[in-house]
Amino acid sequence: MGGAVAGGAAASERAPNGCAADWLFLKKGVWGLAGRRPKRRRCLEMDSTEYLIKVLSRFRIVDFPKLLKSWNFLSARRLQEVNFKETTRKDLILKLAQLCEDNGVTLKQVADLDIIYNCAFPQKKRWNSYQMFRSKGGEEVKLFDFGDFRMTFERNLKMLIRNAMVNILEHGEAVWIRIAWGKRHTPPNQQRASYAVYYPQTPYVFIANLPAQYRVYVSQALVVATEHNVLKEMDLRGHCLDSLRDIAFKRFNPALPTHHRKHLQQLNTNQESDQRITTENLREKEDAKRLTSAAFGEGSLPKLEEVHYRLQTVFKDERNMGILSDRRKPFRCVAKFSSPNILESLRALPALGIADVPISTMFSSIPEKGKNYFKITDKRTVGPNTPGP
Amino acid sequence: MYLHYGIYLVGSEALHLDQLAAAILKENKSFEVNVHLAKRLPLPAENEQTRPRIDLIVFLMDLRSQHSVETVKASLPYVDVNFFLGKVCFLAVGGKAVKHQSVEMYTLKQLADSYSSPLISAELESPDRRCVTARRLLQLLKVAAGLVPGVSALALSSLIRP
Repeated sequence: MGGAVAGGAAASERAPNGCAADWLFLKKGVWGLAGRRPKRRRCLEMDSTEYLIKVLSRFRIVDFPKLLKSWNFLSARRLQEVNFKETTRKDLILKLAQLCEDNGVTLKQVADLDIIYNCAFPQKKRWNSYQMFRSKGGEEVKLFDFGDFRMTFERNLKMLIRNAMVNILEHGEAVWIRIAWGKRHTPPNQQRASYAVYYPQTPYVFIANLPAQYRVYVSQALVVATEHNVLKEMDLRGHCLDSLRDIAFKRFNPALPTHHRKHLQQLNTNQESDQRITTENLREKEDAKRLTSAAFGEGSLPKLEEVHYRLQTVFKDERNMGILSDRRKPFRCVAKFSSPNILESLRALPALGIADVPISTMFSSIPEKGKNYFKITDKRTVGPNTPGP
Repeated sequence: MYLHYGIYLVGSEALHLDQLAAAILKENKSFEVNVHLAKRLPLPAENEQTRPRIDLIVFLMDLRSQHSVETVKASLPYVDVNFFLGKVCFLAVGGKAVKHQSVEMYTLKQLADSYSSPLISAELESPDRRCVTARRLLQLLKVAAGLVPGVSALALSSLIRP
């Protein structure tokens, strides 16, 4: 215990590399006030301790024990020596950084810790979904071997771009890939790393933070490592990785088929406990409820943050005002609905009397179609296009 | 034969009429009240027989939703003229959330004045405010039902007239 305290005191006197102490003071709140991020002059050239402090600064006090344990860099005995509750967060971070530096932590190991943090909090990133296709008549699918995949992916990516740092970890049923990109004469930028989550034995990958210029490298490395031919973007984006996965795998509660609809009605008859309150439009209400359950299902819906409709429809003049009724060219406009949980809000609309039942299929088919970016044109074509309203 | 007085709350479901109804029943201590909740008028024909007398009709309008105002406006023609002599009341909900308002209070006041009925501002979010509103409505109901000696609905409405 005494050794750890002395180590901590030494760390605060001699802040590693000089800039670490600055970063601790420049925490998120202060940046928010200034409104600008500090210039990235020295940040590109980061050493492991500086980056470790950056990563640790995002942790809350309650997160430390669990995440450090799964990182497995500091042995359990050493972790016990650190008292997570007593010191302030700043001191704790410096102490841990000192401890890790004494044990010779490398940048790659700190990147592992970064992956572990993102595994625990995937909702902080915005994920795009991609699907891979292989040509028909391909060979049988081999059983997934993690070691093989890792080697092939890294090798392929390094062939395409030399100066990148790749970390691959297995977490749950997915493989997490973290890539820090560097240009020819600059070291990899650890703070702007891209993440890819690949589910083995499925053709789905979810990618966050990937600049457009590097997309081709990742897709190339992925399709080669997983024996597919092409990587295509699905129009499905959001913050909740589990929900995106559920939608892609079609793992959510489906809408009830028709012969189950009557069953629901019998369940709702015991509501009015007070005989003196009568609802006049009870039947209407129950009908609305039945239709929404039929459209959306009863169980919990996957969590999406927005639905985006790109309309290219010709103006339809209902009241015959004549001003724009002879315009033949389609209007282009974008309608965006956003909410902390858009599917739940859409499901609640008829009950609140804000929308008419039955809910338009444009909304209720979102989980089934597996996209939240739609394109609506007038022509009746097969595929994701639906006729305009 | 027990006499039940009926109060009708007409408004959209987003306003949680059942909570207000429960508050009314809780506050009521002196006479028998039945509360009926409806989304709009005319009332559906199926419950014709079991309806008690209508003593007070309260139209609830949400300042945050133009739709609720339109529904009430469409329901008003279905009310018999005699009700407007003190048996109809308008309730404006949502006055506190100024940022979300899309209807002006002035519009509602004009509507209420055109029907010679009082407009009450109410907030139904918290149980306390619901209690207060329930008490006011009960008082109006008492007068409208003729339970307050010396004051008739017509007399009260003439006092409130602008």
